[in-house]
Parts: sequence; C-alpha cells; structure tokens
Amino acid sequence: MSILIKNGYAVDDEKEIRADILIENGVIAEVGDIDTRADRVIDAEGMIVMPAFVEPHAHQGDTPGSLSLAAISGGYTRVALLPDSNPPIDSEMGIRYVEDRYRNLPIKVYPMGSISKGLKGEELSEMGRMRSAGAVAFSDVGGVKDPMFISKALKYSKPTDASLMFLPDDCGGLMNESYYSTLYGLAGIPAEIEEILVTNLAILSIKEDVHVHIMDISTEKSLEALCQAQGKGTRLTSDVTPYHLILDEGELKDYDTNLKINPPLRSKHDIQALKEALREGLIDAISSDHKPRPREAKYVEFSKADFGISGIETVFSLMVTYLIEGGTIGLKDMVRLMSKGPSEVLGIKPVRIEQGCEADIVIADMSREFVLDKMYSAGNNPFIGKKLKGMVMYTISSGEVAWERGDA
Amino acid sequence: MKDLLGLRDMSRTEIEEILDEGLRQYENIINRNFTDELKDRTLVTLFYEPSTRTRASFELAAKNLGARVVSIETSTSSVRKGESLIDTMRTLESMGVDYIAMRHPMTGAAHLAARFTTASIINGGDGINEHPTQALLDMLTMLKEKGRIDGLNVAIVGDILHSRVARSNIFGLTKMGARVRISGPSTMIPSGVEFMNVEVCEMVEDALKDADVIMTLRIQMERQAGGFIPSLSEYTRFYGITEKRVGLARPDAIIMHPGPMNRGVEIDYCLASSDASVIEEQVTMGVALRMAVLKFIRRETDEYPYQKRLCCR
Repeated sequence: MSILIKNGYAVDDEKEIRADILIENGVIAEVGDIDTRADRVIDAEGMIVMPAFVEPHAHQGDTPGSLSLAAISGGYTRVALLPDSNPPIDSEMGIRYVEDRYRNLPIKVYPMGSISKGLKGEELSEMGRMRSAGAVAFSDVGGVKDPMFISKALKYSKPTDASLMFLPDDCGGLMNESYYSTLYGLAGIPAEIEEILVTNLAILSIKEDVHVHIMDISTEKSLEALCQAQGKGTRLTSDVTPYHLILDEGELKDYDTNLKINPPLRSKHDIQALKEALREGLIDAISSDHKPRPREAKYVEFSKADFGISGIETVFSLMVTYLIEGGTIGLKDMVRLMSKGPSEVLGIKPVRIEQGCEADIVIADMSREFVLDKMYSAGNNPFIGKKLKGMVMYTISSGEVAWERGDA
Repeated sequence: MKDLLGLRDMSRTEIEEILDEGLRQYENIINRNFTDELKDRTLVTLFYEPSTRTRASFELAAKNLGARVVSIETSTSSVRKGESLIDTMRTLESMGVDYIAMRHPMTGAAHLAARFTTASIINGGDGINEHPTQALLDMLTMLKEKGRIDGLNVAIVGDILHSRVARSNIFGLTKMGARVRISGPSTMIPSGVEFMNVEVCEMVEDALKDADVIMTLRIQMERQAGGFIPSLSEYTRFYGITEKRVGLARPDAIIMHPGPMNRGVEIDYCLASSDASVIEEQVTMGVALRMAVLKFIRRETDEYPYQKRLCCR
C-alpha cells in the first residue's frame, strides 16, 4: 500500500514546508516534489499535514472501539492509557490484559501501570514486571499523597527507566478555591495542593534522578516551581489540557458538571501564565486528559458528578479555535506539544515529516468550521453545541488511511 | 420569574418587589386575613435534609394562600431507593405540581432541578451555597424593624464558610445598600469574600461596633468535626455574642439568628430572649415572606406536561 499526499503544507516541530509526501510500507518514503504513481493519492491542497498526535494519558472508560474512533477522528494514533480501571491495572497480568484488549485497532494503545497496588498509595506495585510486559509509564492518577511513598516509588522505579506521572488530589473540593468558589458556594480545591505536589516532586526527582511527569499542570505558582526545578537539571516534565488554557473558574456559575475537572478550572491569571509557559516551552505537552463518563455520572448534582471531560476528539479543534487563531502558539508549537512532546514524555520515538519516519500522519483543514454536535466517545464535553474551527480530514496510522471524513 | 434559586443573580428591584409584598402579607397574617388566591396550585416540599421551621413555614405559607400542600419525606421515599434528582423532578412534574420547595445537601441541586422541570423551584437551601428565602425574611425583618435596609450596618458573625444563610444575606444586603461586616474564626472565612463588598473583621468587636443589626449564625456542631475550630468553648470565648459585646453596637441594635440556636454557644442564653432579640419575629416574617415568594414566582407555561402528552396521542 502506498499513499501520496499532494500539495499539502507539511508542518512538524522543526519546519513548515510545502511538499508532497510519499508513504510506502508504513514509513515515509519521500518528502518533496513527487510525481509518481501510488495506490492512493490524497489531494491536500489548502490543508496542513502533520505528524499524528500522541495522548500522554487517557483515562479508562471507553470500549476499545469507541476509544479508537474518538482518537483517530481527532488525529491521534497513539494513546497512553492510565491504569484507573476497576480493578486497576496494577500487575503484569493487567498490562497484558490491556494489550490484548486493545489489539488490532488502528491506534496504538500504550498501557500504563499503577505505582501502588490497587492505587491505594500503600504498597509498591510490581513495576519491574509490568515494565517488562510493556507498561509505558506508571501512575496512581491522583491517588498518591504521602511524599515518603513517592520518594520510595521513585527510588524503586529507577531501573525501569519509565516516567512516573502525578496528578494532585482533589481534597474533597469541587472547584478552584477563590472568590469564585465563595460566590458559587462550592467547596474549594486550593491551588496550594498542586503547588506543594509540584515542589515535592521537583525535590524528589532531583534527588532520585528519575523522570517525573506532572499531568494537567494548572497554576502560575506550579509553573514557577517547575521552572526553578528545570534550572537545576531535573527530569521533570509536564502537560496541560486545552480546558485549563481556554476556560476559567467563572464558567462554573451554572454548575455545569461537564466543567467539573481535577485540577479544577483556575483563574484568568493562571491561564495567562499557562499560555506564556506554553510559548516558552516550559510545558512539554498538551493532553486531553480524556475521561469518558456515562450520562448517569454527569446528569446529577454537582457534588455527586464524576470529575472529567471526554475530549480526545476535540483537542485539535480547540487548539485551532482558541490558541492558534488567537496567536498564542504557532503551528510548529502545536505539533511540538501534541506529537513530539508527548512522545518524549512516554519515551517513544517521535514522528517527523522526513524520510524513514513511521507514517503516522494527520491531514487537517485549518479553516473549516463546524458545530460540535456528536461524539464517538462519551458526550461529557462542555464544548458540545459550540462552533469550532479546524477539522481533521484524514488520519494515517502506520501507513494506512485509518480514518477520513466522509465529506472531504 | 419561574424559580427562586438564589439572590446571587437577582436584581435589587426584584428583591424590593418581594419585600414589599412580604410586608403586605405580614399585615394579612397579623389580621388573620387569608385568601385562597392559589387554590388551584400545588406545593410540594421536598427536603433532603432535616428541617422544622423552613418546611413548616413553606407549608403554612402555601396554605394561607389556599394552595394544596404535599410534603415528601426523603427518608421514606423512592429517593432512598436510588432515584436520581432529575427523575424525581420528572415524576413530580407529571403529577402536575406547581411549586417545589426543596432543600438539598449539595450546592447547585436546586439549579439542576430547575432545569429539568416546568414547575417552579424554590431553593430552601442547597449545600453551603444559598438559602434565599431565609435571607429575604431576614431583610424583611430589618425592613420592618428599622424601616430601611439601605445604609444599615449589619454584622454577620460565625461560620461564614459553611453558611448558606450568610452567603445569601451578603448577596442580598449588599445589593440593597447595607454595609456588611463579617467576623468569625479565620478558618471559617471563605476565600475572596472581601471582594464581595463586605468588610472582614478579625475581631468580632470591630464588626459589632455601631452595628444596627447583629446576625449570629449557628455553629454547626456537625461541621466542627472537620477541625475548623478547636472547641465550642474557645469559639464562644472569642466570637460568642454576649451582653458586653452587644454594648458596642448601636443602642437600638437588633439581634437575629436563623435558627436553630445553640444557646450558650454562639449566643448568650438570656440575650436570645432579650428585648433586642427579633429571633421569633423572624419566624413570623418567614411565613409572610414565603407567601410573597409564592405569589411572585410562577411556572412559565400554563400547560401541564400531562396535558401536552394527551394532545399528542
């Protein structure tokens, strides 16, 4: 199977060039002015061609089919899956189960193992065995609270050479603690919870020399702590969700449970700091923190509702609508944050638009507008009904057209 | 207006209208002059938290206006069987209910309910968020006692963080032009409250100075377990409303309490029954105010959902 992408505008983290791309046997065979026969020719006139996106951490909750469709329609071909299933993925058998369950899909799913048995933060899980079975990274999601346990986990995991990912605890709160939580009468989640975690992780990652990753970084002071730590040569990386870059805490005035996420939506001030950090390269990646939830977990009282947004299929459109259009970041930045960055966080080989690279490619129309009305994954997304710009037209996974918008 | 969910999004004009009607209804209560103008209407009280006065007050208010009243005990209803709030709303709506007065332990529950029914929702307290009828009756009491709200010095003392009464009063009083000062242990002062047009006083004495109204809040025994204060006696020592502290206020200051009181904790035993206390007056005002609210809000559609369904057949 060979595919020739004609007349596209190719963008990766290093370059933006007008070039044709020939794909053969699952790899990029040639980039340049190509005039040859191919099994499939895609006219990408007016479109951009990028390395496909990589999700550094999606939550469990989809069926393999719905996760795959949601990811591939959003331009993602690689997804790292958190171990927060029930029961959690905390053993070699669990890793093998995930690998087996998500086999034969157009996307590549990378299982993550837990740091502690049962995500309880008490006993270390068998990270060595899980790693040798294919675990890409380890995380207890928001479960680890004890700094001494984190220290032990970092020390123990060092030989596995995999990153450990952390998320701050919600501490029983519901939204960012501030004037707005007082205004809306919702229990607050203090920003300090996250900032203390980041500071602790910075200290520990320097001491143990282990790759630590902060999921969904969201406050200005967390960024300050991150920046200081990076000056000291730590292997501390981070990602941010589009929601924390676009929406602020004031949005919660109507108690929309689809806006209930952890870390919570923060202040306008934090958003400015996050955008700045994104431009400067302090933040490594964008994550959808994809968390599909059934209707019954969201059509309830705000306190009762689950945290999380189902959003892997909308990240690209949100980036184009709110961050590229606003001039916050450029195209190369977007590719760095959505493809190269997450690959490096996970320790997998990044894709570039150059000869010999694996042909995981997304072709998108930046100017096409649409109203988000349906989702392949669960519908817990606050942008449903909103007009967005930027649409994924084709997703090529391992040299095959895995998804294309019918009306292209 | 379809629902009464909170004072946060209400205008001064709307509040004034309700208070004016409340004063008229107060006259009617005093003169035992009841009407049956809501005789074809039905009120359901749906309380997910225990309550004596608020619930009785709603039911009496409705009956004073001739409405029919059903009260649902959530401890014995299908709520206990796991029915969701939305389904409970749909069920009540299908029975042709006009007003649902509800109290719920979670913030925003009334807002959620209001979105899923054509019946009018009256928020009787949602979590730590709002208790609008309480704040309105407090303001009605002030209006009756002082003749105005604009320019009054109001001191609110106690657990502001967990108090929906305080929150609603802050919204209402600041809209009506009162000067609001709050005081309580720092752990019970919500963050950013200083941006809500109130003055935060570390010392209760500063809050009480020249106050026209002293509003003391219930120290919620159940919350103290959360470790916000070390003990009730320490609270009483520093924030309890005593005769001596009341001396700092204006000589004609009134003392209010939303009830139920812990005499001897947040308020001195005798003070609660003194001449300055209008605590029982508040309860009477509560009925009048709720009558006014029932007259003020109504369902937006005259057509009951079951009529619509029959038409479609």
